Amino acid sequence: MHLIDQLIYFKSNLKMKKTIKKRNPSLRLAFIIVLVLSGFTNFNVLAQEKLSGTVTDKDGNLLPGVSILQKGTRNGTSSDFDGNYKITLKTGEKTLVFSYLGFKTLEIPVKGRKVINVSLSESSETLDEIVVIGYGTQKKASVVGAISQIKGAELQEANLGVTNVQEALQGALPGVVAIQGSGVPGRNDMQLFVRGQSSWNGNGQPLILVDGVPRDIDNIDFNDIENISVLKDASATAVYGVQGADGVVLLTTKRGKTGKAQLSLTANTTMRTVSRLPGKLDAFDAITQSNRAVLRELAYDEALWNNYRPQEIVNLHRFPRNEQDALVYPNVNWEDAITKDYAVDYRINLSVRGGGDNSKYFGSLAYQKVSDIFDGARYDNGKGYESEFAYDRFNFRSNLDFNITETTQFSVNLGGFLGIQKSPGNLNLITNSIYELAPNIYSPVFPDGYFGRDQTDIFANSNPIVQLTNTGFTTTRTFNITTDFILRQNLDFITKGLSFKGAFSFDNQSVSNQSLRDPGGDGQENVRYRIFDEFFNEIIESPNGTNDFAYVPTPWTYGSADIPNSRIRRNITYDLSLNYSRTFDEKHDVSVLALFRRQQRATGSQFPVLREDWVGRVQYSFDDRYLLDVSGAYNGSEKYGPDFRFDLFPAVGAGWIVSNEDFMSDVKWLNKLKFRGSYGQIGSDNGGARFAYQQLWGTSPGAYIQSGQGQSRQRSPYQFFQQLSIGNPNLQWETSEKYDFAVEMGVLNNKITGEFSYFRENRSNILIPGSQRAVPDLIGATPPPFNRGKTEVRGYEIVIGVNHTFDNGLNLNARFNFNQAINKVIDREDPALAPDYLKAAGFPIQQPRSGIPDAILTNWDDIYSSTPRVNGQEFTRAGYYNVNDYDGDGVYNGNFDNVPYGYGNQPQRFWTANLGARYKAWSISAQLYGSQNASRTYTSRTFSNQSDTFFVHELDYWTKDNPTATRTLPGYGVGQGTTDPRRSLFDASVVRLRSVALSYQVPKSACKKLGVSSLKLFANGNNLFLWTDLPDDREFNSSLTADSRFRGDYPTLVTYNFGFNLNF
Amino acid sequence: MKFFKIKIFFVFGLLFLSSCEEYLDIAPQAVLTEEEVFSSFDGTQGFVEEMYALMVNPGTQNHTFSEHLLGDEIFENASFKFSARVDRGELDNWINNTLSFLGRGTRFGSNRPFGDTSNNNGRAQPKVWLGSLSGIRKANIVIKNEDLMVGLSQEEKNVALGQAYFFRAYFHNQIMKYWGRFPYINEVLEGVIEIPRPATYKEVALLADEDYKKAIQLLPDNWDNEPYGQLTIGNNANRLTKSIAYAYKGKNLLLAASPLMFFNNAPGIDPYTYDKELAAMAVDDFAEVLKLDGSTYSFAQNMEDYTKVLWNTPQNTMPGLVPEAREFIFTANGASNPFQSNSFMSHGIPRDIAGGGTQCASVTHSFINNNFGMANGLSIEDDLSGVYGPPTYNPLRPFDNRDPRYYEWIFSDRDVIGTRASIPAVHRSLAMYFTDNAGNPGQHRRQNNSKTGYLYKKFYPKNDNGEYHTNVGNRILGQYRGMLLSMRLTDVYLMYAEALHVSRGATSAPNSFNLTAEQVINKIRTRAGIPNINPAIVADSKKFMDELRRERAVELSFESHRWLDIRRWGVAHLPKYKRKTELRYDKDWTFFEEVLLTERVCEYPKHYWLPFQVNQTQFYEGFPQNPGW
Repeated sequence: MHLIDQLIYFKSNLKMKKTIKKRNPSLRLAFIIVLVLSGFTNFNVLAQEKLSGTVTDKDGNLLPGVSILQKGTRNGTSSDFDGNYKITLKTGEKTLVFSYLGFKTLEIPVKGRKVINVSLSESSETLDEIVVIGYGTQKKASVVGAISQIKGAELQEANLGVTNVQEALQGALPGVVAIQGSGVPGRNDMQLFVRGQSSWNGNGQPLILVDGVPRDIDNIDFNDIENISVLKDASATAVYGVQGADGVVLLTTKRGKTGKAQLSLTANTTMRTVSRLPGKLDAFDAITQSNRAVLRELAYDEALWNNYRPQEIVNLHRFPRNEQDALVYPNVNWEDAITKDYAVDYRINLSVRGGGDNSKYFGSLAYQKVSDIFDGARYDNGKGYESEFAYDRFNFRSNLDFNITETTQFSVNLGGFLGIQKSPGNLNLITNSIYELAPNIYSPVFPDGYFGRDQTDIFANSNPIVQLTNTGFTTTRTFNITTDFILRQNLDFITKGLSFKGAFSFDNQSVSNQSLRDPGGDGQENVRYRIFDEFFNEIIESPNGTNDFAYVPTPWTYGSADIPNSRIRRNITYDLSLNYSRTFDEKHDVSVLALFRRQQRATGSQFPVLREDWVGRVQYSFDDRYLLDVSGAYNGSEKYGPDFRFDLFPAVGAGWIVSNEDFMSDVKWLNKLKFRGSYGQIGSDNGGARFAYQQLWGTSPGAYIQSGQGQSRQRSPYQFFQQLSIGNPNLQWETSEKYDFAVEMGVLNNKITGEFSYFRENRSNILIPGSQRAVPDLIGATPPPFNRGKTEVRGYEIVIGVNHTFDNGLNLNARFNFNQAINKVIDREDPALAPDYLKAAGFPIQQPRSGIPDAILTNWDDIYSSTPRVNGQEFTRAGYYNVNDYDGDGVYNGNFDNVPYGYGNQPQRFWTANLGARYKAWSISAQLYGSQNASRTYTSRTFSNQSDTFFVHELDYWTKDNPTATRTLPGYGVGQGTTDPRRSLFDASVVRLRSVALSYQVPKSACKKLGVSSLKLFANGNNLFLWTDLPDDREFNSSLTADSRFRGDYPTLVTYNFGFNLNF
Repeated sequence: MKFFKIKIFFVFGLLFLSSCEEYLDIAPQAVLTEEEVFSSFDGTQGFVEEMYALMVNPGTQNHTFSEHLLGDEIFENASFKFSARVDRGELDNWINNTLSFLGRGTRFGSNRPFGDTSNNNGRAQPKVWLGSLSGIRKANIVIKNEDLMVGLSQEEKNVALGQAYFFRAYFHNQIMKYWGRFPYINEVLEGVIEIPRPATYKEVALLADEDYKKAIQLLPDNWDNEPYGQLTIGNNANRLTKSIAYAYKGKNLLLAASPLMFFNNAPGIDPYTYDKELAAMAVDDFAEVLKLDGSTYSFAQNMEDYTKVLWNTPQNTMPGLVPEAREFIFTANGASNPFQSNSFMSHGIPRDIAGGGTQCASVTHSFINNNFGMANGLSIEDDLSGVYGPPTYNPLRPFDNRDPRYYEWIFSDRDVIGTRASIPAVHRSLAMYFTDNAGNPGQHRRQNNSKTGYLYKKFYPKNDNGEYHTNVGNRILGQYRGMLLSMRLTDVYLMYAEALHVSRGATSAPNSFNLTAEQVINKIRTRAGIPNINPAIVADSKKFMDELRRERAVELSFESHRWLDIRRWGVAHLPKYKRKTELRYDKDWTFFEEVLLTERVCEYPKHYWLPFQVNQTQFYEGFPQNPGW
């Protein structure tokens, strides 16, 4: 660096330093960072024409960090902390361009002036002007692909209490369906679909990229998100070739901005309460129901009389005579017993953002604590440990950009998190208390520390408090680091507009497990139980045995932390690209990209999974009226044999901005009219195992066939050799053809905007995994996978926005979107002889099937004339449905008479309504979300194991006295199986008040007194109201627990947040 | 400077370009080939060896509790259990019931339907349907690859192929046991499969018979005497030999000769009509095994030694291998987890007594009364008839004067578990009465205890003082290992007697062996300590068959043979076998009353065979479903 330059620079910095010190000493640290970082800078001072001025907003507030550029050159500067700028003009056009995030860009011809003071006006439109696309960005106006995006700030505002980014995406973007299964702290249980699902492989989840590299987004702190962009059609995703068929989600993290250091502190507290859970009858009412059922069923099984409870006993459950009674004849509300009224979470984020001419930085630290809605803390186990679900996360990120030379920029991104998750016992046995345990089964805990248990110790009736607090816990620590090194080189010296970018990313994640084990002797729970048998005699059981009073708990042990090999991940991605972007004759905008990329993803000690991509794209726009976009990827996937490894996925998109035509210049009411359309082919290699293209042989440890004395538990000395897979050398990816047609409009000064898109997708060559092949089991192995399936998706999206600011400054805005995507299987290798209505072809991918209930059997005449059943003839009873013999063979057989009914988990339609208002410092917004055409299976445990469990939503059942009811009689002692073939299939449509957010911007004057530059207070709530026929608030049955379908899952929650955002 | 940058750029570019073709190739060290596997004995035997682990031991194959009795022996009412579903006639439940040893999936679910043969947990191992089909494929791969076995001696080749031929037949037999006639697969199937289902059971059985013949030629007498057996010397008892192949060859033929297979689903099945020709062939095969009684095998001579076959061996040892009672012939190992062995041994005992993880299967009164007879050797029915002497059965003292095996294997009310002070008083003796004066049932007649008034203890250990295992007070369960179910010498004797009686009558011996069917039955009765079979019964062919079958029911009770037996005899649909009853009595034994617990849903032929999963019958014409489904 030039000595003189450095001196000048240093001096100016010194001056700045003093000002800062005076105003806000706390900024020293940030300033030092700036100083250090900007030390690399290189100044070119070619004195010509000097200019200065001040930049303010409409209200006269000084704006620091505004970028000021001499038009058509790279000569520029930015405003300082007091909004002042100085610039020396070079040769070229004498016009200054003022641009600042969130404000309208302003161009001002210099016209010989020495001082130019400008006032920038805010614009919500400009925010949207740049769209993040695959491997780059683009002006929104020139986009021809189907892309929706949302700013991180906007997402954060509505979702502050939400801990997971995927969860926040529900309803946030048109065309993106997000459904939630459970709410375990620190675990992601979302399913995300972009424009519906068109394959049965890989769950239809989109490709998710963070800063251009495949990474998880679950654990990113909201404050680090600059933007989330979703690419939906072929034109947008073609550059991702074989990975793009299910859509692409691009998350961009914040980067430094030129300007003074902005130190920002966000803190919020979240209160969370349980959303909807199925309601159960209390002991008195439930036993009454049981007794009624017993009376009904005595005709089938007289032994049931033993289960009839005399009224005196039933009364005791509701009106205990004393405290002892209350324990012996309990009436437990398990939801209250196991959950807290509310859980309190915290999140704090400290970030700094700024930069000089030569370096920019963004740094952020965040800590988040998610606590348990289950109430383990209420029950002290007296063993010196507390076990609850919990998640603590510490996030860090630093994104740095350095201008090494005038034409070379080097960026380093470092991000990651440490997540500490604590999870006790068996989650299913804890949630089971709400979904299965009867209110009178036992008292959970006795005052003397004994726990309740049922006499027979049925697994399903395990004491949830014991499971939660007395069976130890596992601490899972996830440590994740992601790094990017990016070099950008301007290659104007070769030809103008050419640049080179090379990026190298290295990610590492390891997960360790550490368990506190607390088993009693004999593998039973390490607690004492007080049991009351059916005659209410007391029995004490401890791990030492029955009625053994000398019980001493077995000491618990804390295992060492171990990192399973399968949970270490190392990913390496590197790419090299050439970009060319230039405007000719002011009318021809050309932009070209050529890129080469390789990815290595390794888990544990396995061979890394490899990918190789070659990407090209040409974008051309003529006079902002005609747009053309041709792109493609030449991709390789190691999943396929050499002949099928690489292929080209091309796409073309075109647009016409009618409103920019001369003949439209007179049409004042129409501000925007744009037609765009695209067509392309995209691939997916989501399905199938690695190397399935070749026959694989392998080994496994061996068998226990040893027989001799003292040896029987040893393995035989021969290691097993196996044919692992048969292999299909013709294996290849799925190919998806996508069409997208859209109209965008803006009328009345863009006060009303609208967008309508119609899309279709035809997917072919869908991989049919071996396990789903229509090959007889006779083959004796998993058949080789092959490509055959065909599906189609048809759908549309409508987005309508209204935005009006009244003269008094009140702004009202509303955005409504409606989406539909319906998939249909065209071919899925159905067994040739299966009847059409049982084939997958012709129905949606997740189509459920059920028997057809005809009418409730009400008397013996009905029963005698009812359909005979191939199985379960005992289900032909009064109060049960008669089932339809659909195939007319004279008997009901579930294999042939169950027909398509209902929908999959994933809603075919959803809509979102956002309403907002801003007035001066106040802002309020609300979002409603609704989904339709979805089903969920929930199998109620009413009367399971002849216990007194009865759910409120099942009360209205058929009896002689209630002949119009549609629910069947609940079975108590007799089989409960197929009383109604559809009783477990629920309409999963929901409407929720997804969020309400209120914020208040403390006035500048007050902020000044506090010594801060801005302060914003906010309160919001998520998932506040739910309207649905579902008995609980889960949109699908999670796979995180084994029995989610009937034992429930970690409850989903309603959250209330309070917090502030402080900028220094 | 300018050129330098360009250079760097192009050098980098070329570097990546040049290597792109190979970049996505599979790493060479990940590839193992078929040729390598079969080029050595280690590889070939390693490939063959897995077939031993593809066999299913029903006793230990289940979940945390054992569940292997599907016939009329026990009563289960928990509807999630396959045995309860069988009682309800819902045989197609085998497909989805992962708790059953037949189930199509394993506990790994649909991800790994074939299970894990290396897992030491029986429940994680393959189950009958897919395990057997996978075994057939393995056997065919071995047979196909004879030419690749370049590094093997002739003896090594022989034993590898001998095992493969045996297993090909064995696994077909496993499927035929439950699903009936089945295509005989003798090639490695790939791609398109359209093999029709054969018309009769017999034609498949004869194809299997050919494979057993080849196996007999190729297998050794004893691995311990062969060079390739030295690696596993002392541990070779469960490795295939000629005599094992003879035993299974005979069983295959006897099954094919049995009434169910003989009538081939035709109406009017007669439980006494066999295919005599096939039965005669079976006799000679069984004879080859029985000739070895006294050398390779030894028949337990008394009830004391008999316990060594059933459970009385140290935990690390296989039962049935001691010289004085070497009844062990062949078994699926059922992995090695002692927990599952324990839950098998305590299958008939309530959890309160036996300890955690078990569930109590109650022996039905109907099974006991129809089969466990009196000390005089007569069935209760014959005893009460008065034809063979004054009755000894007292309906008011039904537990008296019974066959010694009743006392050895069945618990009745008031039986003593143990007397130690550490055993909770309530569990020292059994209280299985239905009601006391106040109307309450005994401690061991309550929920999750005996539902019938009896319990079974055939594999349940007791110590030298005659005290049984209890969870508290006398923990000895873990010191022993229960028998592994499959085939033992008594079974071969009984099958021999059955085949012989069918083909030559009760009192004549074949050329191949010197015992008559009557002598075999008496040999077994002598061990049990009851008199010989009454000559009047021997003289009546059908009556003798009934006694032979009763003897088989008692001797092989709770060993997973019963369901197959009552099906192959064509009797499962008769009221005597359909009705499961309990015995109700009061605490003071003032009344005894037989009460129906459930009537099994069983029609001939619908409930005699498991249905195939529906799609298996929809892939091509020519693979029809079993009747009634």
